[in-house]
Amino acid sequence: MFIDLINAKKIYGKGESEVRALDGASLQLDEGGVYVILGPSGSGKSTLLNMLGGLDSLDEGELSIGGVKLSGEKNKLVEYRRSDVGFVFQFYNLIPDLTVKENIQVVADIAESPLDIDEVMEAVDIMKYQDHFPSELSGGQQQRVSIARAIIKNPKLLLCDELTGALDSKSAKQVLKFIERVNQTFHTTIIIITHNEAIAHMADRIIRIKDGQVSSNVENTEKVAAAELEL
Amino acid sequence: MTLNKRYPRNIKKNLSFYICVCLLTVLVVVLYLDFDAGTQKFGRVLDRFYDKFHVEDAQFTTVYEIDEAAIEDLEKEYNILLEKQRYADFELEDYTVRVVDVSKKINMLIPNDSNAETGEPVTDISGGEVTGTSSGEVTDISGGAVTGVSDKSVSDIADKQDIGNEESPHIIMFNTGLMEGNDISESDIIELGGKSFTFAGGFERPDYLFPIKDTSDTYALKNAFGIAVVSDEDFEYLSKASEDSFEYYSIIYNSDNEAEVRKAINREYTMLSYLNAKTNTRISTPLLEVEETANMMHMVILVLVIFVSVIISVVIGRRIRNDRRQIGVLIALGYRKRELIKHYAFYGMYSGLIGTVIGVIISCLFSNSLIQYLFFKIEPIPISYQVSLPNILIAIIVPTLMYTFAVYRSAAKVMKTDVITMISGRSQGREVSRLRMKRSHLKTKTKYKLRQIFGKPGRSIIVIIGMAFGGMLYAFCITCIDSMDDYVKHTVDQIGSFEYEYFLKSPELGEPEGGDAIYGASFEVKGRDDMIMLLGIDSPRLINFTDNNGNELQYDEDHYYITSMASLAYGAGVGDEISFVDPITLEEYTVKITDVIKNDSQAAIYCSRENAIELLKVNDNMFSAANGMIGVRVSIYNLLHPAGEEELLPYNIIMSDKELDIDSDDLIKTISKTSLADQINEVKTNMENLMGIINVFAILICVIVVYMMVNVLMTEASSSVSMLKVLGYRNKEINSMVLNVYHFLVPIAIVISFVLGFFGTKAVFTANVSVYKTYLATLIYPISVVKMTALIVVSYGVSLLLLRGKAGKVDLVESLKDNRE
Repeated sequence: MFIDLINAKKIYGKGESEVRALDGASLQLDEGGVYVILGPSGSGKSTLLNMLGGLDSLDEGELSIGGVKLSGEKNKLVEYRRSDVGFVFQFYNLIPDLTVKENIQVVADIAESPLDIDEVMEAVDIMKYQDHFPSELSGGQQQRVSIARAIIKNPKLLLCDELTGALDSKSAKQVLKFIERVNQTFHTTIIIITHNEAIAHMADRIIRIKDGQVSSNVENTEKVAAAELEL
Repeated sequence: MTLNKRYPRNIKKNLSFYICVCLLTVLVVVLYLDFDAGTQKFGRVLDRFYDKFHVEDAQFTTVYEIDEAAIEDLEKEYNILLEKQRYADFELEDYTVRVVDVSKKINMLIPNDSNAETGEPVTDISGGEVTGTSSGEVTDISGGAVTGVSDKSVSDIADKQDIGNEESPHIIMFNTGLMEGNDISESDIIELGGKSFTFAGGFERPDYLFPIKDTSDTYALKNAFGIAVVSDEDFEYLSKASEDSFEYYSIIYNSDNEAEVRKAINREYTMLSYLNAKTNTRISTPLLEVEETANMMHMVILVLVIFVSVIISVVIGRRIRNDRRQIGVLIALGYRKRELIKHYAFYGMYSGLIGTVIGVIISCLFSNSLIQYLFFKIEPIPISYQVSLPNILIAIIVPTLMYTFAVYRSAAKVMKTDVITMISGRSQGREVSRLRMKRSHLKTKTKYKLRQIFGKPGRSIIVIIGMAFGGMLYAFCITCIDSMDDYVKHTVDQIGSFEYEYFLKSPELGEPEGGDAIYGASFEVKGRDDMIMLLGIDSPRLINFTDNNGNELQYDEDHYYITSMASLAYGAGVGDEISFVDPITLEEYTVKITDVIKNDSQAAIYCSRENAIELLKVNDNMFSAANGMIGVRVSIYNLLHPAGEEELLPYNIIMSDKELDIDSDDLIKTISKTSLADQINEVKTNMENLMGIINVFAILICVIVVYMMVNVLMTEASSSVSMLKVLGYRNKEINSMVLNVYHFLVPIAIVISFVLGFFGTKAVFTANVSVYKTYLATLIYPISVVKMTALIVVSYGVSLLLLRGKAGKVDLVESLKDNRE
């Protein structure tokens, strides 16, 4: 089992303002798949992503990824983020003072065995923008840079948080095609968190979250290619 | 307005920024109130002090005594105040004390301590009135009824303080500098002229606020020389006991008739010397000190206020820009831009108010001690300086208004952006740097740093100015100290191989034994309040005789050689004519300068002895002699030069490379190279003490400015910092990338500090040659450059150290939520 989350709990606030973002969530996923996590606002999906990405730690429960136990190991989180996980966010979060190539290079600089930067840029078709600054690119182009930055370190896990949320349908489909290509080319395990039910069709498994718990985790028997999604 | 609830929250959230603004404002206010406003007020008080305590307009000596009846007649005839002044010098083990006769009309003295009965300060100038003490009681002299300390007052004060006793009934008071310099306190016993005196306290006299033994001395060695007063009876005793007593007359002109009076007195009583108060450094130095300090502080304050306003404007402006999304939302909700601009302007107002009020409190608490630091060269005027209400209001209102306006302007600029752009969080127009460095092989981190520096030039310039400003203050002081140190060690030796100059009371004829004869006199430089000496020599054997470049000059008997210091001070170079005036006869002389000789320590013109005698028309019955800075004309030539004898040339100064055995009764004074060095060394020591305060200011400015700007950088880059964390960067790596951006600017700031400090010092030395009576060659030792570099680097390092934890505090989840680039 690549991801093994058991009875995860995360509580924010105290007393009346207490929010149980994760309330006994459990999830087991295999390596190399594309997984889509669906859920309404406040269901706990972003909290789950933060836990899986090592951005935050559980209050209770256990989490291990790729055989490495992360729960209760706060000092391991930086190393985990450094080598094992990549992020793609809704608003790209590129560093504005670095060019496209440098935004990717800045991760390659700290990675143990980074992929070839040109190969990655080629893969997401941003080679020609390599000397542009983020503000000079469209949303779709920026998101592709964000993907390239996430995969340059050749992570075991790629976490995508509403990665098409800020894009038009054409750009969104193109971005998802690149995600699909990353999975196929680099065999990266990909978890996509989204509101958009249509994206779930490209997943190997579809996971639903409700009230801080995994309400369903089912195999997608009708998986379609990203190019064929109706967004 | 509900929106105003943001003020305390915002201040709490950005506490470090507001603390920095407050500290900078406090610095400005303290500098203004205690130094600038204080100095200006001090200057006005000094004028009033001189006026109310009747400082002399001039002093002179005569061949024939002017008796009391004649003094009264002269006073009536010419509407003057005239008084005979007497003193007697005593060489004690550690210092020389000049016991002065207690004057009744001119140069009246004032005790420096508390009133014996009330314990209140002797003089209170806070309300604009000067109040002196007479017989231990506070006397209001503002109305014109002037009462100084009379002869009786000295013992009265002593009686009231109960310090006289049967064993030692004689009372003595010292000027404050001598008292403090030698740790003398009340009831101490002073042995003088074979009598025991009980020390009663300190006093000041307006003609000795710069207490130098001889008016040609450059600096006051307060622990080595001072003045004292005793009762009239004791003075009569001491003047007889002293081997070195002197009489002169002080004069105050109440009408514009100085030339007429001088000529009349010279005609009637034959003047030996005449020294105008403007050229009497004991009186003119305090005025010059105040004027120069005021000018310098005025400039520093202006620069600092503008600098701080710009910093606050930039920093708060950037904060407002970072707030643009909220502003956009508020506008969308219906707020008027005017209302929001006003709202943000209050951030500037609050910053100004808090800082200025704290500054005013500190100023009020420490004003007296801070002002005394500024005027360490002169005696403390016995006043209790109080920060005035108008100055307090200026100190509060001006910075507050400036900050408010600066923030108002920044807010107005941000509001020009259209609402949709603001809500989107994007900035309008170009914001990112276009420094692509496509072909550069520099590391990504380095490129990032360079873009931060060049992409936000305003921020970078302020960092440079902040570091350079602090560094410059340090460089200025250390350059002064090094230059003085070099002067003491080397420059003073460069004026020649002579060690002593003996100024004779009576001129001699022929050649002296063991030294070279010089015939010289002091003159007033025409159009200036400065003195210059004309020195007639037979050969330049004992003086430096090279030009400014070190090239040996050929001595020519027909040439006039001006010293490099005089050349610089009076703007007279080769080929120029310089005019000077005999202070006694008011006769004017003009010579054409043929060469400049390197001598940065003396203002003099050298020529042959024959030419000096010829020029000054020393003939059958007259010639001039030199009495330091006092010109002396003596009608005794015939006595020294009887008819029929072989004609010998007169001399009144002996220059020698060794100490000569000359009876002190025959000497007006002796100048040694060591004494020149000692005086400069004294200033150096005082300057070193002042360095402590300057260093605190320099470090504070450096640390605060760098802290603020790096803090701004970190805040603005928080989303990048957050992302770097998400990407797996360790805090140490993030710090090396984001926190260390300005490393590149440190060397630039060091170079600027050095250049400004060095050349600023050079400009000050050059502009003040006539004040210092010495041209100090500007010099900085390599070790001082290292120290200055260390100061800037350490200050910079401290700022970064304080900010080191900031990267760790950036929340790696929260900052990603609404980040749109």
